Amino acid sequence: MNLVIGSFGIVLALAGALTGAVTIIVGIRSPRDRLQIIGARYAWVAFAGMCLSAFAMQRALITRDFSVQFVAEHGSSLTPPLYNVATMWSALEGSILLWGLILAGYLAVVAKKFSKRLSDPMVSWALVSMFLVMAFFALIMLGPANPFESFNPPVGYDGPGPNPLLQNHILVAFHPPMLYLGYIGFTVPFSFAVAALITGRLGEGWLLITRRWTLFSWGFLTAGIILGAWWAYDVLGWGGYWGWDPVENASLLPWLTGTAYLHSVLVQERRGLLRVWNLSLVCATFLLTILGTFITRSGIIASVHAFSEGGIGPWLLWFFSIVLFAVICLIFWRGEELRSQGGIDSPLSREGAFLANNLAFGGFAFVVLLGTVFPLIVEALQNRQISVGAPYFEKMSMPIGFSLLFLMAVAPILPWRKANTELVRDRIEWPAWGAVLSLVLVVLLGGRGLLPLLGFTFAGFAGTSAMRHLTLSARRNGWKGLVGRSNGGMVVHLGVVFLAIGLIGSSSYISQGSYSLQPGESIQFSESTITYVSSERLSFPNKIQERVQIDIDGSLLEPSIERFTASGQLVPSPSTRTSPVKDIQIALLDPPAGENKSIVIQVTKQPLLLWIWVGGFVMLMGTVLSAIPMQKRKAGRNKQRVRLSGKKDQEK
Amino acid sequence: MTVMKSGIIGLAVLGIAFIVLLATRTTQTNGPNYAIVGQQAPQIQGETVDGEDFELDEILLKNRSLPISDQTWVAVNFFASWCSGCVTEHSELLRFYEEGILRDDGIKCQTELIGVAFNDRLSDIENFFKKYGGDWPVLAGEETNRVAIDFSVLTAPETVLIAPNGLVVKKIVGPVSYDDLATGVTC
Repeated sequence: MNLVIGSFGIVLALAGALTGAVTIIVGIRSPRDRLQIIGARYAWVAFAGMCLSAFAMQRALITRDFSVQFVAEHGSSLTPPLYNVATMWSALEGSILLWGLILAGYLAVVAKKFSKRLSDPMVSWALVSMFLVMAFFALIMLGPANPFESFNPPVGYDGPGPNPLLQNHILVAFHPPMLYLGYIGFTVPFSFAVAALITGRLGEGWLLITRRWTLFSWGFLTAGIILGAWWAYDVLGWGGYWGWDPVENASLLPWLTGTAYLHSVLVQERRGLLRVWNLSLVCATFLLTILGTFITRSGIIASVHAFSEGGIGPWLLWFFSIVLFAVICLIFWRGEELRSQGGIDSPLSREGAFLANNLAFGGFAFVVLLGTVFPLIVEALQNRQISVGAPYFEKMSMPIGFSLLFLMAVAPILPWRKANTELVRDRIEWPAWGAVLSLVLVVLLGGRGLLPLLGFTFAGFAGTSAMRHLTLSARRNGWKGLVGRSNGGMVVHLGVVFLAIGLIGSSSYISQGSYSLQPGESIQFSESTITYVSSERLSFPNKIQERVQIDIDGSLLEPSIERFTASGQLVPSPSTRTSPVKDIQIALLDPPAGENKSIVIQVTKQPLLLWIWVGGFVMLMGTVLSAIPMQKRKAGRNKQRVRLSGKKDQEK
Repeated sequence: MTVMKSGIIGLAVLGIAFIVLLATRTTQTNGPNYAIVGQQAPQIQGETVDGEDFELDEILLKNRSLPISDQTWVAVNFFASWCSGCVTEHSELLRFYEEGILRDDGIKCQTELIGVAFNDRLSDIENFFKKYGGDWPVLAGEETNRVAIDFSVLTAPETVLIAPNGLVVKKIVGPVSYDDLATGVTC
């Protein structure tokens, strides 16, 4: 039953997407706009199809319907309810199903949101692009990533359940959907960019239309990345949160280009500059999401995340190639029309700083992409296997990170067009004092080392600059001074500063050690006394847990190792004592063994780590604040907005 | 041609090079590797779940002193208790183990079935056989990883059929059927 419903849903989504695209294309060519309106309705058909499929998969997982091969291979009667739901995205086919569901959701929301402008060719072509992307993913689900293959389970069959690492932390339920909401959300601005290229309305209209879509996609992607790091820190127990794994890089790449775009778009809106660049950034962001999916799913690069299926790779690569060349051809075709009038008057201006910001983000993306695919290049040229590890990425990203912090401090104080030195000197005073004070404070608190001190100084510089902007704005407009794009943006900047403080503190002053202990034995680690108190064994339906109690300066931590019954895999569950000053994490490396129940633990101390998560939260708050308009638009301005995206574009 | 158009063309060329690079890389999970078929079977040596020693060479050496019709064909089944395909194929293997392969003239071929547990625990393997039946020798433990690598096995289940002269004649990726094995054995 689930097989039938699920497969029917995918076919329905494919049919809806293809019919929608064809109907709208025919509608654009016909003088009446009726067909475009009808075509858009197929978004709901595609959405209904994907909902049906997702429902069938969840039903199959909940009822343990092992006649669905995906459930037979990844489900289990022992999986707890929450992880049972999350099993859907624990393996390839289900994760593509989630992708399809979210994409269809976006498609339906776009169709609804623009329901009064469906006859506008810009909206029509954007919907066609989205329909085609939808059709591609539905096609994959009928081909190499079919979540509804049938299986004939023998009597008494029970599946192994998802990978044990994916069933011992609640974030598993949120990290992938958040990431996908971000990844897939970029399809919307991409589709409008393509529509702008096709219709030739290359002005600022499409930017204004997609502003919030881009912002929310970026926000979701940020949340997804931060939650992923948090999950890694809480589950893996190696004391880290980011390993520069190809799949982590794959999520970072669209984030970097997306962030660059969020800044450069301001230059185009304000000055009409950087048109090709913005179109390229939006398209690159979308392409990087596809490339990231290809890297994750094709298995061409060894990664801790990669799903072990190969069939989907060529499909994604074909799709990537077609989209890339379609975009290049469109930009080539529109070549001259995209040329901006005028240029940047002075490097010491807001647009100059944004340009530098974009170069830094572009450079960062290039560095990450190069490091990720470099093993493939070497293999192709020299036929030998190499891997690019964290040292390369850290070495390259640090100067870029510092320059971004510097630009974060400088850009908000620079006016558009040209700044005079007196104005800059006046505005930079607070941030400069902030930088000096941070340096002094960090040194007084015991911070050492040139690079971390430089990092904290830049963070102080950027943080005070953002605070200066927000204080002045709040003084003028009260609480409304915190909302709106630029004010919300400054809140995001504050979040980035917190994040940077967490990253610098935790990576520069990390200390780690492994110890073998017997019950009652104590060791001295850093300034803390760590005592192994006791141990216990707990049985759960799907796992056996060896848990130990460890006293650390009077508070109790309980790290454990879990053995999952179905796969026999051992999964450590570290325990962390968190404070704003430092995190101490204890991971149980060896469970109690022998008569004396001795254990081996790994202790990791990382100062200021909490600020990474605080920073992430503040960034999200800032994103939400950015999306709230500073003041309600009046009717007249609304009219002007419609004109801007319609007639005015055509004039350009 | 303007600078912009030249730039776009340059980008397109780079794009092509990048796609060619990606398209020509072998994937680490690039599907089954059949290169072993037609080659001499790598050595299989280890301890079975029942604690007995197993060595493929012993069977092959013994074959040399026997008439062709009495020589033993060996099916090596890479499996795991956690894999659904292994459950599917188990009844087929059971049939192969119990019935063997009959020649057209009704004479039974000499066959042997060896299981090689793949990333699995001893207790789970024992439970698997208790649940689904069968008592053919099964290799388990660390050394099975070596065997799996030697036979280019990517994931369970995969089955390799070895002729009496030691050549690999067939490799079946995914659940094996009785007929897959029956058509491979030509005693």
